[in-house]
Amino acid sequence: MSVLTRREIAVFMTAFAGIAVIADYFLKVPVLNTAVADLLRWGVILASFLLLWGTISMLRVHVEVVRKKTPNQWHYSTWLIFLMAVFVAVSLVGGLAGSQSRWMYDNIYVACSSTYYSVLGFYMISASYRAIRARTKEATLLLVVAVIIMLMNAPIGGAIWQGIPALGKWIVDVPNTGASRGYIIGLAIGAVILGIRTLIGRERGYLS
Amino acid sequence: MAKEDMWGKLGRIDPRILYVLLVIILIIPLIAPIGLPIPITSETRKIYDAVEKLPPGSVVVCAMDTSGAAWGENGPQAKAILRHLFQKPLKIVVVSFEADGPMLGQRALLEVPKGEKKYGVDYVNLGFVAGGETGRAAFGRDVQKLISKDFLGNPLEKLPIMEKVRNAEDFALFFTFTSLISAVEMYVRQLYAPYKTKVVAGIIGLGVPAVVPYYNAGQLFSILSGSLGAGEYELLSKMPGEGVRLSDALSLSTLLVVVLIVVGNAAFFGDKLRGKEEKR
Repeated sequence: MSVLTRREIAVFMTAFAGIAVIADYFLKVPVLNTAVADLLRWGVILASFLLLWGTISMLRVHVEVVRKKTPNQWHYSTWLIFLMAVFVAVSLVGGLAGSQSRWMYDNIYVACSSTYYSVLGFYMISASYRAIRARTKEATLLLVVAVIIMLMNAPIGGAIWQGIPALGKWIVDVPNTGASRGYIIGLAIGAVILGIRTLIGRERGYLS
Repeated sequence: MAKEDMWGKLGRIDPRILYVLLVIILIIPLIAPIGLPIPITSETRKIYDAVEKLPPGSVVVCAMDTSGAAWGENGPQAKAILRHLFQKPLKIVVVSFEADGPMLGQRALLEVPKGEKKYGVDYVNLGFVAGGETGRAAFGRDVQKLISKDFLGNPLEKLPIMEKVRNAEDFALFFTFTSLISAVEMYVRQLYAPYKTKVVAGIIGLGVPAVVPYYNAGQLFSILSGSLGAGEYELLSKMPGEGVRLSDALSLSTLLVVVLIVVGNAAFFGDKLRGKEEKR
């Protein structure tokens, strides 16, 4: 294997960047601080490039589907490619902030995605009637807490009984915060351990 | 037999009837508002008071980390805050770290009254910054080295407002309007921890319990909760809008969900009781 493709180089670069960013957090060393600021900007540039790469990759997949006329898929892929081309063309001609782009964005994209998200409301209605049942003690507790939190989040909760907002706030502030802190701290410790293993080259899963 | 029929019918309501009920219940309050009182939470009041007390010329950043899907909740929040900000002698910076955000930020800016404020002098839309957490960290570190042009394509050095916007130490208040809990956590790590920036999470109602631990720990300055939070803020700033209009629909739909839970459980236990009686 070529020296340029050896894993050790990638591991060293990861460790170098990681240690520099961590050191930057604790040390006020102008050279280090400037270098890390540059590193962060490189990260942003790389991420922007990856967005373009992702778009090309997605386009390749769908062009292939259309070319092979994959049953039950190719017409959706054609539609996707067509819309993508229209959005890109309109944005390039009139600018991203242009009235045509804005019109398409507001009246096609936002309208469709809001509709898609709103469908959840119908699932919720159906689930509240069919699935949320007090079958066991645990399910009963979950049901009671869910009802209190839902009512707390709507003005009608306080109108039904003034104690509901206070009770809901207590549930969110005390049991919810306690349990959440447990998993947040657990996750953070896990992330620190994973970070250390990555910096010392013991964790190489990200290279595969 | 009559008893059996009642429980049976109660447990077998056609879902389409429920869907129609939901649509009716959502439309009625939008046509004829009921006007249920909206209680103001301490979190919303804290945000309002903080904006009121900001010294003239302070920089306030509004990060539109939202999407078209979440705009129903984040939109009223963003507009309620922006309307208030535009009434004060403040510098407003709109930016986004999620791809959908710049267009929605621009939409919010176009929809709110801006008074005498001038683009580039008093407010700006910086557009999209890629990179997720890295982008947020880089933004807090040095805005002008990270971004060269605003959303409209103007070079930043030509915008007078940018003289006051260098890094997170210049942000008097930082709002994020988002449906993403992870976005709020990133700001806690990248803006609060190193710079002690006052971060306000304008998050959809569903995400509130997940970010409350950060608020209780003092890492978030405050939380604006869903469209109801927007309604509260509109009332505080005496500019009722979408948030207030939506609150009645929220109340009635919540009531419908609770009633259906009760009906569903009544049918479930009625069915169980009937089964026991038949065994005897």
